[in-house]
Amino acid sequence: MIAALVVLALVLVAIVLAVFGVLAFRVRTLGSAHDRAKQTASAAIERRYTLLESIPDGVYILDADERISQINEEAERLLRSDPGALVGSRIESVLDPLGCDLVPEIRRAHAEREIVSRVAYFRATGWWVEIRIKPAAGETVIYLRDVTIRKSAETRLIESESRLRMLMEQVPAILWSVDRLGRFVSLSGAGLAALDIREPELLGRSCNAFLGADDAVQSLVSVFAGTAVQFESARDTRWLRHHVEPLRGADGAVIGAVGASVDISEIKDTQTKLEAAARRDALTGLPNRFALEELLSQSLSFDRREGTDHVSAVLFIDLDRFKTINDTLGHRMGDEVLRVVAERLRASLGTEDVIARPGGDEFIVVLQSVDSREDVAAISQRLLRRFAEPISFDGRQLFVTASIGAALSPSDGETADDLIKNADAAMYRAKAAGRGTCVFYDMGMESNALDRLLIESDLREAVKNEELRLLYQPIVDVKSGRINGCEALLRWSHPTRGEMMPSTFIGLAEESGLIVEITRFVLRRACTFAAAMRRTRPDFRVTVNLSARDLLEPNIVSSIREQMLRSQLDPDGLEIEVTENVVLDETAISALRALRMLGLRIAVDDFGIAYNSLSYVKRLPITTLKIDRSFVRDIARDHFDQAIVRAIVTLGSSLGLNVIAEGVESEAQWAFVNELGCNEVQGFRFSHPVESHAIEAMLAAPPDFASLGTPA
Amino acid sequence: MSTKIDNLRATLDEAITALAEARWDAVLDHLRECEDWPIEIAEHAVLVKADTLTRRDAAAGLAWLAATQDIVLTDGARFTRELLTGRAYANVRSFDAAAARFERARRLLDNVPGGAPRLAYHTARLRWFRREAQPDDADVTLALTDPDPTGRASAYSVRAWTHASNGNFRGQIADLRTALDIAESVDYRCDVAVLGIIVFTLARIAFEVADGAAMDVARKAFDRIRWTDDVRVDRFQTLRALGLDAFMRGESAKAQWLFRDASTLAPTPAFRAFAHLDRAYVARIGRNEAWALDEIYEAVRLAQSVQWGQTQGEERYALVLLAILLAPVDASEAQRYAATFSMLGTDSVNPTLSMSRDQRNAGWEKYAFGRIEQTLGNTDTALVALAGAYEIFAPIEHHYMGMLIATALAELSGDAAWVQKANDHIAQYPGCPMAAKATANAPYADPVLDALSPLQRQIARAHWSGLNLDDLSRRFSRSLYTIEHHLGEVYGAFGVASSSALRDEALRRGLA
Repeated sequence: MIAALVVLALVLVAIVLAVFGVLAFRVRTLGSAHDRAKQTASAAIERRYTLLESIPDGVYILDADERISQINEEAERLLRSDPGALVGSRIESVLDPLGCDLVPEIRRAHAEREIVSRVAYFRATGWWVEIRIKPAAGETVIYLRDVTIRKSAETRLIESESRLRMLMEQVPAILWSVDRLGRFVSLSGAGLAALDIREPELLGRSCNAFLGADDAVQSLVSVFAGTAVQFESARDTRWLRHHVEPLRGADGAVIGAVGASVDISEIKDTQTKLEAAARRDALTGLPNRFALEELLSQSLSFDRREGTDHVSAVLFIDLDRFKTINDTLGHRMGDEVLRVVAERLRASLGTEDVIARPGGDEFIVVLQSVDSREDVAAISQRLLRRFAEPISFDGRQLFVTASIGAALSPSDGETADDLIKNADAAMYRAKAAGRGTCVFYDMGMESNALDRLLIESDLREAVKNEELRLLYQPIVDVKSGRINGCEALLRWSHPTRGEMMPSTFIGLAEESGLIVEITRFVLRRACTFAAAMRRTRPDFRVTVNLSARDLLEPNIVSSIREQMLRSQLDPDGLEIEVTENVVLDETAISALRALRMLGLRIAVDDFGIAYNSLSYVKRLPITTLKIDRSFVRDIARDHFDQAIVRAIVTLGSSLGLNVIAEGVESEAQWAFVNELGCNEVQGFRFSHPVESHAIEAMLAAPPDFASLGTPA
Repeated sequence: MSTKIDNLRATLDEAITALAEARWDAVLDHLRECEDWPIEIAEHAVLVKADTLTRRDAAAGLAWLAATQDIVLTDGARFTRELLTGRAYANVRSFDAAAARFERARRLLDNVPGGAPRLAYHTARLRWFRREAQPDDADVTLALTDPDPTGRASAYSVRAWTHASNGNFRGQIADLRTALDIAESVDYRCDVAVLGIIVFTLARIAFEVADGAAMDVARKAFDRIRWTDDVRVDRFQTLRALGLDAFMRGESAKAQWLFRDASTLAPTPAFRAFAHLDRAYVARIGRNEAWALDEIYEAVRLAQSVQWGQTQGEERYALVLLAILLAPVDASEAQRYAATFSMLGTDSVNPTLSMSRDQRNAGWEKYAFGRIEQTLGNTDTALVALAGAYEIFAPIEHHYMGMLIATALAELSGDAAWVQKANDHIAQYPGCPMAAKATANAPYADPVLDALSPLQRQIARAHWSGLNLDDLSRRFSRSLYTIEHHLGEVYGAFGVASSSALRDEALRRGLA
């Protein structure tokens, strides 16, 4: 029993041991299988790793847990990671546009079992990376390919290709190449068809004919010597521009040339037209100022070169009152006039003479070969006569005159510019001299007096057109307020400049000599007016201002007397007023004496302001002193002014002179000058300068100045 | 005839659904020429159309309401008409006109069963516009009883704003959550435009005060709402808030995806730039400067296409963010954007908030001004402005703003107290990867760096940010040779011999 139990126990032990042994064996076997499997797996991983490293693209693999199980060097570079740093990381924690940012796409690729691919651009680095996400069972493979170089090359290639294509298709160019002997090797481009050139006919042949034989040889020599050249040549009716560069072999030696030839016929054509247009006046077809100066320079240099002694003349022609034609009859009429004048000029002059229209109503004529000044004068006169013929337009007859200024070369200038300028100045003289005439330049004429000349010519017109007129300011008896006479004051109603005071134009009139005419006008008017007034008021007088220049005029006295006779004015009806500071000259003083002898009254204006006032009183045949307004202005307040006025009055009364206070504007001033003993007053207190008929009215019905405020 | 009316009635129903789903073009399409419909349904149709028009453009809505006056006849319709007109007036700030309309609606109330809560909602909203509303006002309370879920949600939204006006942001969150709970109870079948604003408001405030539970509610609603293009601004803004939240929870990758979605949804280039700058911010904090640069330059590209003078509201803050992020890379360009922002001024940056009593508007203005001044190198004014902003945001537990401001102040002043404050705010966001550290005063100024040429400065910053020679060559359109030359100068100036040494030196100097 016991033995049986022992056996049983042994058997059991044996079984247990056997079982353990088997188990142990199994375990060992299993263990080694596991090891083998492990070895196989690591080998596979190793292989895969090697494989990954051999791929030029960046690759990383995610396991089912979205952890990076493997990654190659390129992927690490693109993810900017250190070697091995990312293995085992969850992709979500890899903060990178090529890492965590791809997760939504990775999940989509998995969900849809589809490869997702796109190209990403990184602005800061300029990288282009092609991304491919490939889902597989339990893992995901992400391929990253750096396509920056390809992309940028692509971009560049696309750009340059499209540029080239555009060039070839759009520009009528011919691209060609020649060998070292100048024979065509290739020809292409849209220009071939346009120029009707057939490629086969030219290949292998010399390019000389195509490039324009003369230029071609010279140009190719330079190109073969290594420099690029550019030149133009004509081919039948077409113009070509060639750009030729040396073509070099691998060793750098020049083996031929490449060229681009562009049809520039249209450009040339436009250029020519533009040039012509720039040099011609569109209305008359005459050369303009630009062209003229060139022509004139040429002609002058020709003169010098030939050493001839013949002269050239420049005529500066300006139509008279052309502006009026334009303004009143319209620009169409004006244009017609200009055309007719141009035709008449052409018909009247020789073919070698130059006619130009620099602008407006101005024409310039260059007489190429005239022998003398007299010739020029004769031609000018002929032109003036031609102009004088009426112009018919729209059933109208229009009369046009012109003023001509002439300058001769070489005496009046050697350059075109000078001649034109001087002819211009002379023309203004012709205008000033009354238009419709020709004036030759002389050295005294300064073109910078242009503005003055303008005013001068206007002034001449003004005298003729009666733009000048006289206003009269009453001279009043200080005590009674009775009007004793008036001062004649000149005004010019200029058509564009408006009302002009004598101070602005008398100086000019004196310089130009127009003063004589103006003075004559003033005297005529004033005398007539005075005579008329004296028919009802026999003691009425008119005061007329004369300038120093007037008094120097040799026949001033006789002309005044003539005027008085003509208007039947008694001498005491006219008072001549001179300004204190201009009375200097002995001639002037003797003229004044002569006038005083005739019985005229002589007044000194602005008395008291010149340092030598008293000496004038002694030297001049004065009858009246007019106290300068500056003493009157503050007379009510200023004791100094009162003292001066009192002194003048005392002086005047002791010499038996009439004393007039000018510029009386207020009651107070009137009261003071009255109290101080002035005889007469003048000023706004009584009247502004007014038209003659207003004076007439005042004399017919005398205003009661006193009632406006009697002096104390 | 009756078939025709039935057809039109079906069309009207479709229009009403489309209005609720914020598909406004579809509404207008359905209701084209609805004024000529048979009178029994025209009335309703013109009001639906008016509602739609008013949401897009108050003036257009008012014009339509005026033109269709003779069609709206029944008391119920006239009541709705007065409410719509009043709402449009309120939206264009004609408060008296709005009040008059609501008063007219009140007189119709007897004949409009269930109209009282609707009217109460509108009067409460108007009172909030006028800065007069309080959470316990009678009309606010009455509006909350509206049986219509959209109406009730809207009422809670208005009460939420009255809480915000009182600085009670927990109250605001609670009401917004209730509003979204109501929406959830009907499977979000409420007016999408109303929900959009509620979700966006909740997401933003919940993020600011680090209320994770409220954020979850917002996120859930965001996922469930059927968004349309007509509410894309709200969707965009919510996405940004969700993105920032993800970021502050340490989910940077998720933040980046959300911001990327936001950028594709952005309603304007300025907003799109915003989304890229958000991405740049996350990338920079995550120390992937190359990525940050990439997003910054995308934002720069967008910013260059924006007519900043024409922008409104929050769009302009993109300039502030751009200046802040650009400053370490390209100080002069950053200053240009900063200058643009200060030139435009901060007026009307947030008209809604500036209208209410909400002082956060002033806080944002101070913050923006401070960061701009910091960028422009005016440290003293920047410190004052930022400290002022902090005074506003810290007491109301706006931790994100608090963190931003304290970090900036720490940078500017080097004061450890600010570092501590910044970290206290950061601690409110579990899992946040950030930790503030004090860097040297005026982080962008450095004597060595200043001695370099502007191009060399930019190259240096880009280089220690991670751009290699090739990158630099492309980035600055200079040859490799030139870049190498400039880098040589940079190395020399900093006394280093390698790029890693340069980066270490830059870190040591607080430049990187």
